[in-house]
Amino acid sequence: MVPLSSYIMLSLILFSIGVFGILTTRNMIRILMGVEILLNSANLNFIAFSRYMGDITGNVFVLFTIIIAAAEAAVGLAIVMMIYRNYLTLNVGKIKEMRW
Amino acid sequence: MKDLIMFLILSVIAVVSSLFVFLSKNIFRGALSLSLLLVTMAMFFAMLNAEFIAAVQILVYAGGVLVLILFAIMLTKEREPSVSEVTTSRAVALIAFVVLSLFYLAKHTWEKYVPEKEFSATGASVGTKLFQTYVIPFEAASFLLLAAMIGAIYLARRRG
Amino acid sequence: MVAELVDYIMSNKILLGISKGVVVGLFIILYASLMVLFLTWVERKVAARIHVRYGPNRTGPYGLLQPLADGAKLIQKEDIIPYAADRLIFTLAPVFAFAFAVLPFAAMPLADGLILADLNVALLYIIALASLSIIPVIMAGWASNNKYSLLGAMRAAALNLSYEIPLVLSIMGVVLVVGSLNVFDIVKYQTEYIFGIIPKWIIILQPLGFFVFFVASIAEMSRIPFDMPESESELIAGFHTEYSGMKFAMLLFAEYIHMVFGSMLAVLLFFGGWHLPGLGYVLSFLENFLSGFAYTVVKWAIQFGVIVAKALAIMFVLMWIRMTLPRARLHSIPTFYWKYLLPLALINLGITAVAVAVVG
Repeated sequence: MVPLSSYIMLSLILFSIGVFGILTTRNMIRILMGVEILLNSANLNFIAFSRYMGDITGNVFVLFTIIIAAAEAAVGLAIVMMIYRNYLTLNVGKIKEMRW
Repeated sequence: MKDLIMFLILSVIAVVSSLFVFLSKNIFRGALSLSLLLVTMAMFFAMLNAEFIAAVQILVYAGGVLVLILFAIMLTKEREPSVSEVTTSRAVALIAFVVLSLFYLAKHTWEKYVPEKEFSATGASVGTKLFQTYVIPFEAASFLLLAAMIGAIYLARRRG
Repeated sequence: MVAELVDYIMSNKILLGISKGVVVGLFIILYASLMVLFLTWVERKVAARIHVRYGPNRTGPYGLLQPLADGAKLIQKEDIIPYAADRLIFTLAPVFAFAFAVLPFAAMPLADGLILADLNVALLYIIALASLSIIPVIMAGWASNNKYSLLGAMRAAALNLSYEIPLVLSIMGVVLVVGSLNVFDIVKYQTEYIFGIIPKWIIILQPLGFFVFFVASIAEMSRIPFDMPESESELIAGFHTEYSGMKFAMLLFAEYIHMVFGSMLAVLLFFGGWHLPGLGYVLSFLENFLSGFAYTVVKWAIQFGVIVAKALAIMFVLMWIRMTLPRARLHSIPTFYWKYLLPLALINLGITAVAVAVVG
């Protein structure tokens, strides 16, 4: 049986990769993908604890997290499409002005 | 023993694919490796006896969110060549952070072995909890989805 | 010697699992492939007869070797990859299409006890794989580096994604009535009788649900009248324009396997699976003559035959619809979906929920 701390470590590694990606990349869609990686690592942590503590509340919370992540991805990508339509670039470094 | 092997293989796949999301030159391949990560996560959930959540993860994440991301990639085009954003100092910072925190975790949590309890997370038990104890967050989540849907449709429609 | 080997495998749990997986898995893939080969012939013959002409009748008696001729033709074609296409994704798309099309068969029983993976969330797994199979379509369209392929892929993905919702809602109606996501429980529920004579097939309890499921699954398979992604005279060939040879054959295979899968799901959920009204008596009569293992094999063969016969009947209806109805126009598909199909699915779910709560 795999010890619980292995799952915590894996979740930590994925979380730090996600944060690293969000902070370094300049493509808007990659940032959204990084957010999905973050949410997944947190979900893994929840489910691992839920399994080892015998409490099903962790699964319910992960269900809510998945729902909210889907909603956020939809709205986030709609915003990305609007920005692309107006600025014609996906580079977050180039989007500096509110109006031009 | 086979649990350990399965865990090691799946975790290597997960870490490599999540790294590839950011390190790939072609963003479409990055999105496909994100799909690999999502399916690997579903396998982890199935290994941890949460089969309902594993199926929901594939249904919503890999079948919904990922298709959304692929649509967004197909409809946009980055005109300038991508410069590699991963400099040496940033990579060193990431590796140092991960290694140090892993050491800290291993030192403080490894011997605190948590004994397993009897556990089964069927759809019925999750559903019962969802409709009895957590019914208010459930209704709030449905309102959130409605708001997100309306917002996304309004934001993405053609002007004029 | 063989008996000793079989005994050794049966005693060791891991070996038993692996060998059962290999045997049943091979059987499923063989079944899917042979079904697809047979279906290409059936489709052309049925289409021809509805159009008052002969179908293929030169290759073998009644044209039965036509699928082999098609296969031989496709194998010997040149494998062209466009110059600026993404080679890796271009090659992987048919592979994933075939894989995601065959995977749902692992959770579907072919007879009473003949299943590869008896999951408690089998229906949810099947629906999840149906939604995963959109990704190879997008991959194929994108990797072709062709405007028309991309357009066809986006239309196919949008169609597939939207018509999943009524599909899932109608399946949820069935799950509400039965009370379990396990496919065995659903089929066992349908072996009982109402009033002693009418078998409790769920199509009788959920006619509206079956209608919604049928229309949604026609859209999922991208068949006429929902042929928009592959409109044969409008968009060259949709997302598989640039594919040739064996890769194209794989994509075609995947489309037919989706048809087989949709029909089998309809049979298992709505038409009683392996249950025929008089079959129980026949099987218990046979049990007197045969020993344990032989009886199981005969029982499985009979039940498998029943399932295949029912699935073929549904596929005949699908081909019939394809050959007689015109293609839906591009703007009627969302209109039909939002104004008629989705409200019907929701009403069905509401009525079912109220009925289950009242009757218990």
